[in-house]
Amino acid sequence: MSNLPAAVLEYLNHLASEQRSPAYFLSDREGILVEWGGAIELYGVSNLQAGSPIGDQIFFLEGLLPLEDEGLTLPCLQTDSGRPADLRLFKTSEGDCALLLDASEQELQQRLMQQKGNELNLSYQRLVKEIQKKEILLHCIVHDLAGPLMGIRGGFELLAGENISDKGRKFLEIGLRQTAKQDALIREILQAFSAEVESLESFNADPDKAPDAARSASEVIEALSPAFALNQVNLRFDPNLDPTKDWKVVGEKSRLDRVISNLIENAMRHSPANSTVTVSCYDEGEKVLVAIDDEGPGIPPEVAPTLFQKLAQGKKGRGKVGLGLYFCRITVEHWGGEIGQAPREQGGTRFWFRLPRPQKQDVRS
Amino acid sequence: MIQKKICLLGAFAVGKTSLVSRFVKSLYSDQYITTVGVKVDKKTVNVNGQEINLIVWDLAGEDEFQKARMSYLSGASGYLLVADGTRIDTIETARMLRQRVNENFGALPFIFIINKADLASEWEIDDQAVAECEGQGWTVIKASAKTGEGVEEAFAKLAEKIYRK
Repeated sequence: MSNLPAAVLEYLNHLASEQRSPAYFLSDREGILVEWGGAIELYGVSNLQAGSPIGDQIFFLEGLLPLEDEGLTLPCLQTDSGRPADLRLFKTSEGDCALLLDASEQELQQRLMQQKGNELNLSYQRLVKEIQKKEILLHCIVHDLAGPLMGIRGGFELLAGENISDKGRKFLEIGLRQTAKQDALIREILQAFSAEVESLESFNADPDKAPDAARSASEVIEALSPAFALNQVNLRFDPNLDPTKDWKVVGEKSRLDRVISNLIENAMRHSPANSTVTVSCYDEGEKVLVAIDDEGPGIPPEVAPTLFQKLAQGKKGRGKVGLGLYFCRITVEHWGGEIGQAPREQGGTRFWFRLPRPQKQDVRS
Repeated sequence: MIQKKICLLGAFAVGKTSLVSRFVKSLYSDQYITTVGVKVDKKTVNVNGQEINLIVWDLAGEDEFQKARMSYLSGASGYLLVADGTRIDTIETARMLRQRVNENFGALPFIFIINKADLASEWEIDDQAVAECEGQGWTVIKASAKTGEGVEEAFAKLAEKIYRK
């Protein structure tokens, strides 16, 4: 029983009548219309006959009466001929009652918000699709460029085995170097733009599936060792690192490999012959720091602030357009980490990135 | 005359209201206007010589903020499940809605409409996805509220399924 005083109940009754324009329809237990009243015309209902099935006369009540359960609330019901209304069905001592209450205002307010929300959602979905289309286009363009490049490179390498003059050999070497640069650039473009589109992809924060930073580094070192040998730069893994420790980090293995590979290749490009690049991992409790130390000339101060931005370029523009470091940054930051570089006391530069360790989720029974 | 209540369910902006507008009034508009709550309309169809008055409940679409209200399906004899061929995620929404209908009302007759057949070049729902649905016993109809393709067929097939039950 309500504990509201009669005066308050009377006021509420008056409020409902004034503001909600109620209309009611009463049917018996067989669904036959018995009685009706209120503002029925507002809801497009007219020409009613007692003694006929209610669903035949008020089409939106078809299937709802007689009530099977105690009651039913169907908000914001609209027909072409009437106002939006909240439909409430409930049992009475005489039968089942269908009550309509004007919901025009609520419908309008909700429609405005819902319309905006849905339109924004659709715009977002279209934008994601457009970005993906552009990525595919980019891939096609780059692969069409990469295809002939392989042929050119192959041709040069075959030519290198022929009997040619010293001058010719010099030109050949220029050609080979340029094809190598072009190839690296194409790969970087693919990486950088793929990362932007794939930024919505999930990554592994589960300790069982997370990648191991030390293992990734070790594998990348193995893969890049031939290139380092060709450039006469030493590449090594920190001999003091304990490989049996847990070096798992939040991330995704193939992209972690790419990040480490980009940083090591970057170090190689800035290392003079007979210098050494060292890769290390450090345990920082809840995080792991991966560091790539070179013995190169260092980063000029004017270049340092823009190093990890898209299209950043070293002073001498050593072949790269700066997409590799940009890819590293957006990847590491997407995984909740940080990236940076700092000059080394003994000369050269340390490029580093820090990633959180994966946390085991609590399992609640 | 027999009267039967049917409902249209699906993700938001898949074209439920457009399908009803095409079916009931032979009208179509490119303008997207969201449905709040439910719109109820009616049309008479003929199934094997029997006239059936279909009471069509066009429910507001499901999205991440608003679940389709199952109480609107009370008293329904069947339903049309609608997806948008250009949005692959709407097929998953359709599956979840069917599961909720089954949980609340049991196995009601239904037809699965993949709308926007006029935008075939932009479709993300491929033949394999369609075949998977058909493999599960679904009746799948590719339709377009814009051109009218498949619309009458979908409603007629549902009416037939309901009448035969």
